[in-house]
Amino acid sequence: MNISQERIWLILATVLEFCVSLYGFFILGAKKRTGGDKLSFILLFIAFFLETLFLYLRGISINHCPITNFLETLAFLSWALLLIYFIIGSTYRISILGFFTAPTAFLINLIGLGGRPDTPKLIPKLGWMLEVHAAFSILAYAIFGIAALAAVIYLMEDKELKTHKLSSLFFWFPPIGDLFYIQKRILLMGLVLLTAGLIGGILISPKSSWDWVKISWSIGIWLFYLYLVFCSFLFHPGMKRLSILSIGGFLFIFLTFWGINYFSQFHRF
Amino acid sequence: MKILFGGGLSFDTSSIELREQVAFRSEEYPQALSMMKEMMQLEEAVLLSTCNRVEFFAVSKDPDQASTSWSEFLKIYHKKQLPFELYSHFYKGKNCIEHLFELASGLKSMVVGETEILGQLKEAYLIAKKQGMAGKYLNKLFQSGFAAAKAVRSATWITRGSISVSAVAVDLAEKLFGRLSGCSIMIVGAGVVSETTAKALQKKGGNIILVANRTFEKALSISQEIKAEAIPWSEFPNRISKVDILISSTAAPHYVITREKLAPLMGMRGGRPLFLIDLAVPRDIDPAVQDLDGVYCYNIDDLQSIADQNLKDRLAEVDKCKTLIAPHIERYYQWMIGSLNATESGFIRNFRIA
Repeated sequence: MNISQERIWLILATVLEFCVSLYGFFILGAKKRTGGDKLSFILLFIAFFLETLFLYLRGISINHCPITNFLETLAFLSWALLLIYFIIGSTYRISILGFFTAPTAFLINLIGLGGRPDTPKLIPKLGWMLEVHAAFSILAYAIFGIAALAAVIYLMEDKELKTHKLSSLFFWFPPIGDLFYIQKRILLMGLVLLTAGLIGGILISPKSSWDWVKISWSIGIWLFYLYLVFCSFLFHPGMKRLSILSIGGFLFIFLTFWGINYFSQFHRF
Repeated sequence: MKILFGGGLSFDTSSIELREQVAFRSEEYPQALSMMKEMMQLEEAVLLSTCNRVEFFAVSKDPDQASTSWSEFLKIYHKKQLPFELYSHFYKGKNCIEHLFELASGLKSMVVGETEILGQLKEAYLIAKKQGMAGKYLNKLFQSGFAAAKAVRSATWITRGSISVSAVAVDLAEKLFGRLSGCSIMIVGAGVVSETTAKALQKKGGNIILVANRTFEKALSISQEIKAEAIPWSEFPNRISKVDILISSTAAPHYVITREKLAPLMGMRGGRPLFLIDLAVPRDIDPAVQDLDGVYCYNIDDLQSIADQNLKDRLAEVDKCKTLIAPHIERYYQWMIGSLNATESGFIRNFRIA
């Protein structure tokens, strides 16, 4: 199977994510009772399977973990977002999270598919540690993405509870105390993975060269999330503040990732 | 010819004083059913007695005679000479099917959308079935009614949202904390509504741990009743950091909980939300506390307006529920016509008239 054929699976997954987004918009907007969450879960699971297929076939084609160009990186990020959603959403029974994850994954894939040319990039032969570095880092960003989506849900629920104006959405919201607990846990999980990813990067740097632009940016991100995790576990800064910072953190990563990589020597896609 | 019919006394046609004279305990059902069968000449019967209604569903060859005998049956069984016939209502044929299906769906309840009635109907049906009083027609009728009720509940909002102050408080608490087991509750002041609310929260697993009142003896008396700890009035502000839900209903003419008092305590809560329920008039809790992160304060008007809105939402669903029930009614009706047609020629005309 050639590269353009592999993309079909990703396109199909993107279409499914778009359908779930529309469906979620309809279900959450209309006063529809439960039931829709099961269908969206199934559709998202199919989308996840298709994305897995795309990444697997691409991995076979390039004989490397498929995080070598713009499309692959974004596809891996949206795949990781879905994966984390299935873990977190199922564990804590937050069906509404699926309706927020679907449009995010859709947009990420759309940018990937409509962005730069999908040409696999030749990468230096630095062994499996390079793949661990890239995969763990992107998994960590996906976890921060899910934390940001949980933060958005928190802020919406908090607003309804504070203003006493309960909309039809209110019945979909999980307990707000659970959202606080979940955020703390997943931020910690993301920090652990990011640390592992960065250690992987540090271990391979002597074999190639120290990429100071990317290293500075990554350390900045790492320190930011370290602060969030420490605050949430030790200083209890207040959930609203934590949520705003969590959303800001992920937006910062997503919006500056490409710019920083442009200036970086070894991360340019 | 056999005709499906039913009727009896309900809250919308008779007073509670009258209904309580003729209420049946579930253990009385078998005896009452046997007597009904004999006096009203019924082929099949199910008797239902709840706090809001005493009704029956039956199949008989002479429903008019049976309807007249219903009042006699009540008078003799309960030994009460009251004019039950004046307050009884009856349904025949399709109207009876519609009545049962709407009843099972909670549309005919005093509290629209309540779900207790379905359990009561199931119990009444099972007792009649066990006694051999629910035959071919009532078996199918009740099974279809239960299916219709299930469809209504899963496809509409008829049961969603509580419509009493204490139940709304419980809903909100569950939205804040999830399961209430492990949640600690403090009652500040004494009042009937605050006690009812605390007990409703306790029923869901909440743990009432502290009671504070300006009069310590009063706090002690309440705490003994609900097995909680009574604390002196001066101590309660410092203990707020330890509780998840605070219900306040003092007679104080000013705020007893202010933002200034609460702000330093919030940092000691480890990020857990704090649910403040202010049932006092004038209010006990400064509304400015709502600006604090993690504090959710509701006064009696807030709770009441949510309850009112929920009721409006439920009533707005009634038409949708009826639309959902309609095909179930039609299906049963067609089945019954077909079934009777197969056994009794000439019945259809009479049934349709009925």
